[in-house]
Amino acid sequence: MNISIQNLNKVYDNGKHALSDINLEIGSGMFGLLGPNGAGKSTLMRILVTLMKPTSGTILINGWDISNNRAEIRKTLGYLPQDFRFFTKLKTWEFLDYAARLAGVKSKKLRMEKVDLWLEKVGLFDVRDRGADKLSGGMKRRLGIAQALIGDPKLLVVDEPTTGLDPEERIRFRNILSDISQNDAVIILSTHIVGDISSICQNMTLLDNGHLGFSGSPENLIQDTRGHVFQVNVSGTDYDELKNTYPIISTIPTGDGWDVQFVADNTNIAGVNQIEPTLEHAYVYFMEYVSGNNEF
Amino acid sequence: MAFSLNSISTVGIYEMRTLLRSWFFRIFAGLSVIGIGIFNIAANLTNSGAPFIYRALPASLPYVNLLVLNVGQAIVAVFLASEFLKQDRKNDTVEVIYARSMTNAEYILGKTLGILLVFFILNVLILSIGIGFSFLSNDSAKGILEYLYYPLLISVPTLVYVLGLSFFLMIVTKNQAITFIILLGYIAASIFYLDTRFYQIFDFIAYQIPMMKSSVGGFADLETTIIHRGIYFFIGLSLIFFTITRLDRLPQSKSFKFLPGLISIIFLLVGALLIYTYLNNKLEVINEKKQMIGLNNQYHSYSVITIDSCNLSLIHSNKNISVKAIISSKNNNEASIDTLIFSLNPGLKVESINIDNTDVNYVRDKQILKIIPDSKVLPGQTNSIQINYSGTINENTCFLDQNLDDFTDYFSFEIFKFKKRYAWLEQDFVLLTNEALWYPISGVSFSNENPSAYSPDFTVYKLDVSTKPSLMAISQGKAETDSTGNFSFSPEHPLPKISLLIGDYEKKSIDVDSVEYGIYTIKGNDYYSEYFTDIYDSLPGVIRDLKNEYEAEIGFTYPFNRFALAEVPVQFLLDKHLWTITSDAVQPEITFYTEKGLMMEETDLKKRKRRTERSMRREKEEITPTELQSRILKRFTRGNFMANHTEWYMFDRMDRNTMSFFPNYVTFKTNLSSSKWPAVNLSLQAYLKDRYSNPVSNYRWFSQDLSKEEKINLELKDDPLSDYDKFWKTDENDEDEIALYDLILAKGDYLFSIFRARYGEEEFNDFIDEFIENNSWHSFTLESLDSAMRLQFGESVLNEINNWYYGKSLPGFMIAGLETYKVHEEERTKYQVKFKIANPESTDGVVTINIFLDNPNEQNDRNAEPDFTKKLYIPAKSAKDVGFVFSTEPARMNIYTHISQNLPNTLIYDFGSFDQLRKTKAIEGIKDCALFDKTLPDGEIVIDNEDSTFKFTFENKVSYLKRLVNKNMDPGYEYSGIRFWNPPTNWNQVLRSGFYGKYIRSAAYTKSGLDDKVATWDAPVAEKGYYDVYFHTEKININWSRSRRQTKKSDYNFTVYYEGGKDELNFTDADVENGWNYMGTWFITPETAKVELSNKSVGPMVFADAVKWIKN
Repeated sequence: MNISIQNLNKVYDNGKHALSDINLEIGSGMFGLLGPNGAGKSTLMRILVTLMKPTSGTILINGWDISNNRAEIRKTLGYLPQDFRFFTKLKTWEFLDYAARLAGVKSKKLRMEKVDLWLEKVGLFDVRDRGADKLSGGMKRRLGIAQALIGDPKLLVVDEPTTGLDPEERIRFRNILSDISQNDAVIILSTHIVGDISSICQNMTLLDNGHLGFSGSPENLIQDTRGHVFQVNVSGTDYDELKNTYPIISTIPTGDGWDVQFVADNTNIAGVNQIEPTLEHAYVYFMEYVSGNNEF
Repeated sequence: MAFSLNSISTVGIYEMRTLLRSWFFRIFAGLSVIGIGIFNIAANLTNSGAPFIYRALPASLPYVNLLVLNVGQAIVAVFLASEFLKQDRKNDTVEVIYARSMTNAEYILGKTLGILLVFFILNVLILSIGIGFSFLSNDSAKGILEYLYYPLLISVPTLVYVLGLSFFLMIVTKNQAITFIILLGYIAASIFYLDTRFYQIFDFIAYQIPMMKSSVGGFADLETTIIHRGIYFFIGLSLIFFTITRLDRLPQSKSFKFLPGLISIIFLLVGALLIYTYLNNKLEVINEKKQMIGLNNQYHSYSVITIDSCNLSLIHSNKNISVKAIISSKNNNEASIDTLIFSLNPGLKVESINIDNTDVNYVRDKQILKIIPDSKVLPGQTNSIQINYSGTINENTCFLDQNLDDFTDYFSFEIFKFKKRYAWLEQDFVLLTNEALWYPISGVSFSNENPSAYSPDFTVYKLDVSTKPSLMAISQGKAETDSTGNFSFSPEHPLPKISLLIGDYEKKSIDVDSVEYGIYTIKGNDYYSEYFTDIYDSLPGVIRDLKNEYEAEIGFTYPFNRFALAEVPVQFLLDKHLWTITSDAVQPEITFYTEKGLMMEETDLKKRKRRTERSMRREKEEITPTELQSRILKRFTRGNFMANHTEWYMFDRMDRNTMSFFPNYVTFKTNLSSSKWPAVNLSLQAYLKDRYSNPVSNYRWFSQDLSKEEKINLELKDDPLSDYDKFWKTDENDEDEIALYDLILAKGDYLFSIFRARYGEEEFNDFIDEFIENNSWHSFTLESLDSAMRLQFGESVLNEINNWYYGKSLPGFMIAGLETYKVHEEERTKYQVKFKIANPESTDGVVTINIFLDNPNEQNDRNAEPDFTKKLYIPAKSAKDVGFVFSTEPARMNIYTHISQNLPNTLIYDFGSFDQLRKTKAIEGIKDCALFDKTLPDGEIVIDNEDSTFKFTFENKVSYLKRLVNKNMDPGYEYSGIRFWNPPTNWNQVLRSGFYGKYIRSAAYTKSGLDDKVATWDAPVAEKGYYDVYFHTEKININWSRSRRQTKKSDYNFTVYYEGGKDELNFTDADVENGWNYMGTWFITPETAKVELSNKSVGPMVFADAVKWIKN
């Protein structure tokens, strides 16, 4: 399974360019989409799951043109949208059963097994008879994950999947995705939680304002940031000056001031130490310095 | 494959589950089940009072249950359909469904299926209630197939259409509230406004479409019903498929985008084709009828031969008949005939014709069969004509005298609609009357150039029938049969018509006094025998009693050897022609009764039995089964076959003449033919039927509008009968409108009542009885009747009949000098009633004076028989002095003025008490006296509300909505009843005997108000001087409401004008008396002779009647 995106553009009716000339190759495994709000992540995902038409460009999913072969593509799809809150009056298990039937699982026995399996996997088995609209926010999220996965999709598109999950659930979810990614499936994960990507994605792309900023492995992105992440202990007016000059990553209070981490192309501040970058550092550095959005 | 059933069913099932959990739906379903459940229990219980029809027919319960449910489910379907599209926009979870592999069509069809499944469950539930209760009830009709037909005909098309329309409007408006409001308005408009317009084409709810199914004849016109319902089904589907094209989801592929659009267009075209077919079929019927009438008009004046005998050999096979008719004819005209005109149903194809064994040429044009003999038929010449024909029956030839400008092909009973049927020619059931022209008749049937003309040949018929061995044929005359389906009928007398029934009948009969009485019932429909198990021994006596009773009532003897009731499908039409008082259900020797006696009274025998038992218990009578059953049978017979036609009847557009025995006594025995005054035939029948009964009304409800007789008086005052006869088309659907039939009936009865009153009751009736007896089994002309009258009474009545038909002059009656007092005669107190009555008009008149003696038990009984009745003939421009003396004190008198200018047409006088004792001789008798044409002395100037100088303020304030709804409504008659619960805000005219008036005793009344509406009497005072001024009124105080104003009695605020000023006067209720009330004396000049009445009053309404000025 692979996805080839060429010269993809999306312009809304109000003239806003949501995606501009996107070219991307996505192979099997986990693929992360990282970017700030409004970057075009959801638009790209909605196009990939055939909910929205691109303005121009080509997308081939496993060789199928997304404009002409929606039936085939939809058969391979699992999708969890960013908002997944409002349900009609179906029970938890019924919603999964509904999704399974639509995904083509015709055997009732098999469907019931799958429903129970996924309810177990996402920790909703105990509330299987509760109305889906009566679940808590986290439970709804888990139900959303289960419905996306119940049809054994070859292309799984999940938009902000871990929002609202507690750390334990988040880990469980990551593990589930990892398992699936072993089966020649493409999993596209859109998030602004950098940790999700750093822990499970082999490849990723950075979207910013509809443009493709970076495409590669998280390690490559981190590598590009090496030498641009600093830590310094400052106090009083120095801290204010630092804050106004550089994007601050973290600020940890100490006895005589603050230990501050920040990114910069170069710095001549006294007492700064270069530190080893993480994906979070790389993301901030990239957004602030590489994609040309440095407002500082 | 374009659609995956798996996807559709998946979406459908989960949509259904969701909707079943909707509280909106649950509440609706719950209320429906409870409401319809209670209704079904009531319908199946006899002591609930529910009409018999709900238990009598297997189709009734499923039909009514779904009709009731359908309105509700249409409204709920609008909500559910619009809700799903709204939820799709709102619910983000729908995106995970949209991302699944299914077409938009599958999704929308699935959603539609889901909604339909929900209603399917509800329908099943509702129908199960019907099935359950009908099977639990012993005497309810049971059926299963009906529970399949009606959901398909009622619910499915309506739901599909409503869903499609809701989807469509949601897509167009993108707003659920607007969609809901528009569709609710549409549903309301279709029920209350569009309902029957354009042949019920707008009736998507199925409220007006006739679809009652008979257990004998099935659906009356299933094809038309399917076409109508198909219209909404396919348009609904078209809109659903249009919705698919507009769904806010990317289609699976381009082909899936265009396919639903294409299907939508195809379905729309199918719907449009069905609309065209439906309307075209309706118009075709009307057009064909018009063409047939045109042909009848073309040939109605042709001389025709008389059919003396007719031998018919009929073979019934499948849905066809094949007939050989051998006719003996005679030319009774004074001239030769070169073309023989016959009428024969256009569905019957003529195969050959020969005259005296020689083949002849013939031409067919619809119902007209023109035979061209080789040589002219000379006067007096007889021929034998053989006509061979076969085919089926075209019912358009029946009842051509229906109003084709507002043609209705259905009738209503309870909530049900029935397609009118006139004939059946099915594999297992045949019903043919001469209306269907199943055998050739000489001449033409209805012609609107002479609509009330009717001149049948009295023919000696013989009928041989061959049908399936399992079926029974029924016709007039002595019947012989073998067991192989062959029947032979030989009537003993020449008859004006014969009929044929073939069906799976069973017969029960009994011979009483050489007459065979029988009843033919479709097998399985004998619900009555169990109610008459103990009557068999006494049945001859009961029948004899009833026969004697009826014959004493009408003065004729039953002339046939048999009489039978025969069951026919419920859709059989019971309308009447202009030339007969009964419906086509009454045939010689045989009266058709519609399935299980529906459309008749007293056929709910279980209910009747219970009520009779209760009544007997109340009267402390011994209840024996024989007596009970005898009473039930008598009541059924009297109510349906023997009653006076003016009695109230429970069915719309029918009266008690509809099934009357009467035609068997007179109409099938003789006929009065008159081409010049055709209405005289029906007139004679109307007179003969009710000549010994007394139409009486001794009470007038305050709220009562004009009676039928009063409307007839108004109509006949405007135009002569001849004009109505020729030009007037009645609106069958307008209950307020008087039918030509009613006009002829009323004016006809009046004509012969005049003769009776003039020549003496006994003398005239004996004469007419003898004349009819001498003219049995053939028609007679009016001229021959006139000759006989000249011989008997010494004068011709032809001129009078001519005036009666072509003139519009009506008598008018004035009553004066009514006095009531006591006298002593032979030491006993007698009660004197004395008055003068005049007819100043130029036409003779007759009144019926009814006097009711003081009987506290009958004071409010509208139907109480009078204790004294006198019919009084009052020639034109004459007056009578009338005196009656009674030993018991009379309580009231009413004078029924028959056809006259009087309104109200019954003058009612409550006598109060006979306080005064006069020492004079009692005056008994009727004497001529001097003619008077006013009831007040000279010198008194009276202005009545009917006079031109009476004026009132009128405010034309009608809301836009009312104007819109009533746009085409006739304002109706000038007079109405007193709407005491909601008096009009403008002055309206009402009739009461107590008001002042020469012939029309009326007043104007209005709701009391704030002195903003005034009635004004202007008097033509010739000279100034002192005048006493009076006002006239009848005190009307009706306490019906608890509101303060309603319980207060009206006072009257007058303004009297005089020279140099005006006085304002208030008369409280206590000040006012019935009749004339003195107001005062003023100096009045010609310019100031005016009195005003304000609408200001403490009571609910004020009445403006008359004012008089008397010069001092």
